[in-house]
Amino acid sequence: MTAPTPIPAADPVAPPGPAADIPAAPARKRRLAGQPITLLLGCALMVLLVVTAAVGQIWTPFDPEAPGVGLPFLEPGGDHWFGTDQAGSDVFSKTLAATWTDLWLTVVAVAIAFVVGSVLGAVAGYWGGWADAVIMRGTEILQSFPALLLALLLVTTLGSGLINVIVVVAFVGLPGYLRLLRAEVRARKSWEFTDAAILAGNSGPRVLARHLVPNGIMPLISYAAVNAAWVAIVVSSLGFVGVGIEPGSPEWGSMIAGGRTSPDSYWISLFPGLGILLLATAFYLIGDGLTDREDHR
Amino acid sequence: MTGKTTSAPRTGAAPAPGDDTGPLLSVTGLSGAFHTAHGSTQVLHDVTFDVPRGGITAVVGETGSGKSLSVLTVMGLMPPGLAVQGSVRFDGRELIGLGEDGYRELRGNQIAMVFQDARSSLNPVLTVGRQLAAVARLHRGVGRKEAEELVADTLARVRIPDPRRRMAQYPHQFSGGMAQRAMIAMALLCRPRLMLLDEPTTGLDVTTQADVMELVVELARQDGLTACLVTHDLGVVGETCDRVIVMRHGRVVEEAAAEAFFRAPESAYARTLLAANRIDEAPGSPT
Amino acid sequence: MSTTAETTRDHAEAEPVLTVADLRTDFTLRSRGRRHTLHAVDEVSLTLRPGETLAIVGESGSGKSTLARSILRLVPPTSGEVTLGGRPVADRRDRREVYRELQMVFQDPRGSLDPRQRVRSILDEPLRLHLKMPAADRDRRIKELLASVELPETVLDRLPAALSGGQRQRIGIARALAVQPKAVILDEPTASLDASTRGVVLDLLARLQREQGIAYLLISHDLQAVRRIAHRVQVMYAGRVVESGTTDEVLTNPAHPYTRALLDAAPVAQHGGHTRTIRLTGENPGPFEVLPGCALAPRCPLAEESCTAGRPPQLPFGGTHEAACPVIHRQVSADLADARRDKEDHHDQ
Repeated sequence: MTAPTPIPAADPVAPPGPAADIPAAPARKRRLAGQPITLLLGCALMVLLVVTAAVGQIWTPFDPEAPGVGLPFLEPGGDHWFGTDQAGSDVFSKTLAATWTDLWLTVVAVAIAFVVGSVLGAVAGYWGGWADAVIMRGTEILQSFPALLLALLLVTTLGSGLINVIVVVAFVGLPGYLRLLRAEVRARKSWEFTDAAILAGNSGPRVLARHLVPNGIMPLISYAAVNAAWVAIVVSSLGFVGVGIEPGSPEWGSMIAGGRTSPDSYWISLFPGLGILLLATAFYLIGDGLTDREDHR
Repeated sequence: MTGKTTSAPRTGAAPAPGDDTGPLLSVTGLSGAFHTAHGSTQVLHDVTFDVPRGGITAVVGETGSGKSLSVLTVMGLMPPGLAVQGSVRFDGRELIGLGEDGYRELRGNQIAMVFQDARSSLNPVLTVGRQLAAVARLHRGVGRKEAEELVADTLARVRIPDPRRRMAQYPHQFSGGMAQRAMIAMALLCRPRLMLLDEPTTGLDVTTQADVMELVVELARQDGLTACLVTHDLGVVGETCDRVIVMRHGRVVEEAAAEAFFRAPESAYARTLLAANRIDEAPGSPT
Repeated sequence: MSTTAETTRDHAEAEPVLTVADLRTDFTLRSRGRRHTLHAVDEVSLTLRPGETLAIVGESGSGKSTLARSILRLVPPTSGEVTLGGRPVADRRDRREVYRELQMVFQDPRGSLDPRQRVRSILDEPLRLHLKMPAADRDRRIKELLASVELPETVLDRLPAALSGGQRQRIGIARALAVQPKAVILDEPTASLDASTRGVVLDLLARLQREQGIAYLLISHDLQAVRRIAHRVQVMYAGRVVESGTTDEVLTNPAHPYTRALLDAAPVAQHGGHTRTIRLTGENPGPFEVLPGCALAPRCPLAEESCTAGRPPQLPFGGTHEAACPVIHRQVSADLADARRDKEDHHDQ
């Protein structure tokens, strides 16, 4: 039935085979120089933060959780580079140790929001109907509350602690991913390649998983980076109002809160505050750069 | 700047405006290249052709032949990054290096352009009548009332039935063929000396396509309008044009009067192209 | 043309691969609170036999693409029956079973290929998912498929974006043929290609049909393509079939005013073109307006009062040729009667 050997078409118009076609454009090379400057800056900053976090896990000048390693309220300088807090703990050691906590809290919360939001968004976008209606109404209710307030409310209700903070922050950030992927999937569902994939033998879930989601995921990656900047701030905000992860363990938000009572000792709040700023900026720059790169495609 | 010139009025000092002996548009030695960090790609190679006054000239070619690029260059609408060299003379006046202000004056007043997919060329939130009236007021310097009259007349001229009612409608209420007529009306309102049509009937139904092209021919015959049609469809060219320019890979491969061209094209490429457009006459139809 | 007639007779004897009986596909639209029913496909019937090409000709809005999608159940039809290889399609538990026998080549080769999938994987999918072939066999079969569409093996690791339009359409064809279907729906297979590539792709399709005996349902508005590869033609207007017959009968001797206008409007690549003898007024209204009579009546220069009264029946025009236009039928019959009378008069003298 099949034709094992090609028979040249007797065509008077053009020579058979690909020679008749227009030559393909050369493949675009991926190069560092071509990347948006924001993306490069963001990545550099992120590398710096990850290295800092790793160092903080292995070595700190003083035990970050031990009080009284120095006198309380020492100004930055000498043995205590960032000074000491009201309990006489070393602010530099605490800030360093907290980098790890804030970084991984953010990353885990974003990852959960990304995965759960994508699955729900893909389902809503592909099947539509009542599943879409239920998911979208839920999302709208969730989004009708100010996000930070909702996070606070939920953590207060559920009680503070590591797991609760992660779950709540992920839950509050989830609608963004959901809506984005739903829109991407819906737009591509009517493309011919969706029909073509069905004809090639793909089942519905497989069309979604192998063709629609991979083609629509890029905007979510840019969004994840921007969302991570927000999550980093929310995590520390929860710590600041005292409903974050268990009190006492080094975390930038709760460190800032600790400095509230002694306004003269600015250094207690300043350095963890700078940490939050740097982390959020790094994520934001990466997100902005990724969006930029997408637009130029 | 120009090399060898072929027709007398273009040599020496610029001829007086309104001198109507030479071609209306004359492209000489036009080359274009994109320069990037990876090197440069030349897309137009020494393109030379004339568009004589009156009648319809077709620029024909397949995807990537440079036909649209050449015409966009005439309008000063070349894509960013395209470096062009050579000469484009419109009524004796050099257009290369004209600058944005010069081109703006030229577009609309002297040269009008009709694009493929007319509906996306119209502003979706304004009524068609308002958009056309704005053009009439800008280019004809007439008042609001007169502009409306002018628009209604022009829409009737492009054979849009019930122009008054149509003027109150939005572009999405127009079919593809109607929208293309409206775009031609918009071009006519500027009373251009040259009308460039870039694939004006691509994407329209066959019957609508024939009607739109008939309108273009009628305008050219009756009003002495000079038109330059960019197309990939030799069928449309055969039906309507007086002169044919064939382009391939950024080069002009043939320039001839339509009659001679369809009788016996000179270049081998034009012959294959013509054969491809007559595929139903190819031997070995269904077996 | 004798070859066409012969093969048409051959086809007539074979069991049909695909039959469509009174297929109707309605869409319901809501605008300003009111519901409109739109008959995209209105009682269409067709029969497709092994090794033959049936062309469905029509302009945008004629319902020809919806017909294709309804046959494949990509759009659920409202009523009517589609039978594939003797079994009603509606009986199949999984529509994927249908796609093992009936495939489609899409109009836009760029849009119908996943931009992130390499050629190898595009061709691998139907072999793995439909035929459950082992990996080694798949690899061999992919190379075979590439050869049959005259592409070099170097394209295997390319993404669709790195291929030309013609190459992409060849991949689309190879993908459709991978499962060795009995019938393939070709949805405007050459509409997005350059003129010179168009001819090559059509010849390729014709050769594959000769070698493999596949039946094609060609959906097209391109009369040149139809003339080149189709054996039979059905012309659609506003969701209905208005004329049918062999390619020769319909395109050389069109009966229905719509077919005549369509043929008349097709540009001819020669200087001065041709004069149009029949002209429709206005533009294709699409299937939005549902008329009790002939859908073409408002645009037809030959329309009479009776045309708007009831739906015109399919009337015979000799051979397999049928058209739904009583006005033309009357004219032709009168002409025939005249000719016969003239002949008889001649005889008497």
